[in-house]
Amino acid sequence: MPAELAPAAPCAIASALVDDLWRTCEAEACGLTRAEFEQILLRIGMAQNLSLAAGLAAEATPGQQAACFAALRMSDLVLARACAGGSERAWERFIALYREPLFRAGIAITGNETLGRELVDSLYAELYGLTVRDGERRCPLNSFSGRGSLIGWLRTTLAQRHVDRHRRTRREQPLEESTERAAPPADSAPQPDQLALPLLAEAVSEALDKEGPEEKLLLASYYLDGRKLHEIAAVLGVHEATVSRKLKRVTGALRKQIVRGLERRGMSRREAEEALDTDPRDLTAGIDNGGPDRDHLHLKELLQSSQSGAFKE
Amino acid sequence: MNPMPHPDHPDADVLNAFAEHALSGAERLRIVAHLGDCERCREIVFLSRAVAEPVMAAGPAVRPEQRPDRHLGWFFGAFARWRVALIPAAALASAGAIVLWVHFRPVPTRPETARPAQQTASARASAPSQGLEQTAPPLALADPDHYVGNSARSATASKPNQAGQISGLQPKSAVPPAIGISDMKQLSSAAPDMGDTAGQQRAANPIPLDAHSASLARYAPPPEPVSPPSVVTFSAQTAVEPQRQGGANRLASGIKAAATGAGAAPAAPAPAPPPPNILALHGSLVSPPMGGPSPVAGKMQSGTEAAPQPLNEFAVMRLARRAKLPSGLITVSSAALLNRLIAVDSAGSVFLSEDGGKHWDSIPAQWSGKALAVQAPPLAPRSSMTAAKTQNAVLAPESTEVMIAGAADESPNSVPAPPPRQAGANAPPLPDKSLPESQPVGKAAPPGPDLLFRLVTNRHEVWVSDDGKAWRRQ
Repeated sequence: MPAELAPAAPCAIASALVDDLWRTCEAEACGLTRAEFEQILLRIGMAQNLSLAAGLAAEATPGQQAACFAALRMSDLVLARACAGGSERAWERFIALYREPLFRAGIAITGNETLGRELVDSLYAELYGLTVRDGERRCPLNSFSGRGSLIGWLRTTLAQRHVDRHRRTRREQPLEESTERAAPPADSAPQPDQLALPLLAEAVSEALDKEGPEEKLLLASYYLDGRKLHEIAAVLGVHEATVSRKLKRVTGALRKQIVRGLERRGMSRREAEEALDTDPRDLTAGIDNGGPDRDHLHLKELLQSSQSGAFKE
Repeated sequence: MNPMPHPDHPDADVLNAFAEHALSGAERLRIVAHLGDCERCREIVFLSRAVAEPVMAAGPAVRPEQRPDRHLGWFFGAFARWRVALIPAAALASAGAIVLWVHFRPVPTRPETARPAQQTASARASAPSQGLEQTAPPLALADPDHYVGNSARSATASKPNQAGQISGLQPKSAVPPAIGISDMKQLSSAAPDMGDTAGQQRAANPIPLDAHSASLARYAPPPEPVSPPSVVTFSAQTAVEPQRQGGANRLASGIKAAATGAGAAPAAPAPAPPPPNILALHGSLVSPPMGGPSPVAGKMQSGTEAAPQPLNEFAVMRLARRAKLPSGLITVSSAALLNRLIAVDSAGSVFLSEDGGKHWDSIPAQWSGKALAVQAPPLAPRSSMTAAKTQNAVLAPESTEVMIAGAADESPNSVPAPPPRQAGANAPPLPDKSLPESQPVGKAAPPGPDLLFRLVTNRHEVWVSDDGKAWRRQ
């Protein structure tokens, strides 16, 4: 029996539940025997602790077990585990279901058919378990927990690989494509606004730290990543109008916080508001992430955005 | 905000679960906090989400509680983008539609609705004196709104096509019933609810007339007065033609008798016909004229007089045309006496105006039930009658003019002069108790102590008032 199918803990899944899941998950189409399927269920349940507190999984009732499995995409999970276990029928089913969608996703992610197919092929090789680590065949499909869909997991995996590859290669771009920020003359006297830069950086950092995680994600996605409202809405699971309103509110509050922070640091209100016109590229504390100019430009937009302005959708 | 990637990036499974809104609250918050600081993971999530859109919509549904405002489709997306323009545009369109509807809504004009007051008065005058006296009208009331229909029918009997729409009336039949007979049939069948039915029908069935019918109605003789023994005892067995003719004869004889002062009894042994105002009261029940000339109309033309147009008719006309009662309901009956106007709306409320209808005061009901119609004794007509189809005159023209002239001096709020009267249509108003019998018809009669408003209720009670405010049961 493959290692992935070995029982993890001395508990049993209710037989009726196994029968029901065997039917709904189409486990037989995946080339699994009933014993293998039951073992898969057991491992999955133990990995989730049957959605119970620690130590209570062994005492789970059939209803609790059913509730645990109902929260998961069991058919995808069983297929993934069967593929990870090396079942040829499962792989045939996997290819039949996900080959074309995966290629489309790869092409959409890379923007290029060749690169897309290359990306997908590399993932296939890894999924198929061609990767051997410590003498043991490793399959990324074992990390699929079933909380999301298998095709979504596959797309996310593709995107992850692509982003990592892109981030590695981006740092290798020629020097002439780097930022075109002109170095200030060495003998120039510090300009009055340069004296406020540290204060501004502190005020900005302080104001951002006070924001909640979702507000930070919102600001980062919109101003740093340049995402559109509908894209952010899709990720957060809210309506586009909700994102717009929230962004407006957060932006306005952030501006006020920055102005108050600058006032607390000895600047007058007028000076504080003028400081918001500072080029964000001059800010170094906690802002500059070494990214392209677009990050600075978006942050400038954040600092200088009017409360009445419409957000780009 | 530290954009440097964290060492413990969530794996693809967690990021996918977050993108598909499958994470619990605490774990989701943790991932959100990480994404706020990690550009790499943000890029992965947005990229996988962007690619997954067309497939995610058809995929397995995520737990509803984790997707409060999910992808709502192109329509809502378009609406979200264009809501700034769509909502004000929709509001403007609605406002414009309302304005257009108010502007172009057909307002029922009743230029001739006040006419019946004259013709009603003349009909009263033409009726046999003793008969009318005896019947004393609960029905001897002018209802301009509906009397026109009747008079229009009688006047336009030869031109049925020109009769205006008279909704709510009986369907046209081969033999148009005598004017008033169908009213009586309706009354007999709906006696207990006569007033309510009439009021409701009046309220529900306006009677607009075209210009030609209105002009004809203006000079039409009054309809044949019908003769109920009481307000509600009209027999449905009455034949149409014979009754019509008989009624016309009675009317003619009565009018002549009144003119001569002989008080001759009607030729037919029928009970004294009630004032024709009962037709106004229930005018909506009368069918429009059909076919050729109505025998009634012919009879009327030959033997009866056209109702004189009292001086206060134009006040009533103006009232009916322009009255905007506080209740907002239509005016179903109105009367004018000197400088006072009384109007009854379709709900039976009574209103008084002392400034020609500019302002109205609600008169508290001192009677039981609701008011149906109001009448005021007509004053002498002003001008001489013009030639019309009807050739019957009761009053002497000179007396008519004198009365009109006298009446014109009475009220400072003089109403417009009535149109020229029909020749021979100077029938004196229906005699009622408010006018002394010895008073010669046609002479200028200053307002006397017997000039009273008369109000009929649905309880068949008659209430009178000299000022329109204080009413007493007659």
